[in-house]
Amino acid sequence: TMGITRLVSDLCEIHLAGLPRTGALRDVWKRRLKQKAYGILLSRIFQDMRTSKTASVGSGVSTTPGKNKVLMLSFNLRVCGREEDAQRLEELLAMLDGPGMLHETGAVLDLLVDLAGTVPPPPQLF
Amino acid sequence: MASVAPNLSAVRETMDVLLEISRLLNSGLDMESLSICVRLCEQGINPEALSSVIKELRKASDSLKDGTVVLL
Repeated sequence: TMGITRLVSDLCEIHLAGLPRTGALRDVWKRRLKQKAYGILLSRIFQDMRTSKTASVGSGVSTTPGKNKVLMLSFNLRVCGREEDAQRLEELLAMLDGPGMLHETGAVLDLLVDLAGTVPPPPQLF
Repeated sequence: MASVAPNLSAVRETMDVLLEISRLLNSGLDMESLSICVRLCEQGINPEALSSVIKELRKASDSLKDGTVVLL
């Protein structure tokens, strides 16, 4: 299995698509991206540590399961008239209930919800 | 009692489902990014922190494509 450092490095690499495959400029940018990524991840770890020291059980932290958040977005799609997309979204969610599925689907759904709407929808094909 | 380890076809099926959900939600993750994110979540990385990382990396990537410099 790959460690966190390798995975973060790979994630940064994907976001260097505009640069030549090798060279000093790429190295500099990759280092900057990694610094930024680790800055965010580490600040979150320290934030979580502070929260766990001060918070009592069951206080404040959002505990809505990722699946429920996706269902809320599905409702939004229906309201916006995207009935077919909402239907498909709910079918896909149901597929994630099967045995032997990945253990971290809840966390990944949280991630997808956080990123929802961050890119424009694909152009419609007629 | 034996633990249920996800088999390869189930993992692939889950990844396909998650990718389609990503597309429907306009989350902007392709299969390569999604695979990395799944593995980071498996390693215990907080999904909210991960989404912040991805948003920042996209900003930097966009500035690279535009030729504008962002101080990181």
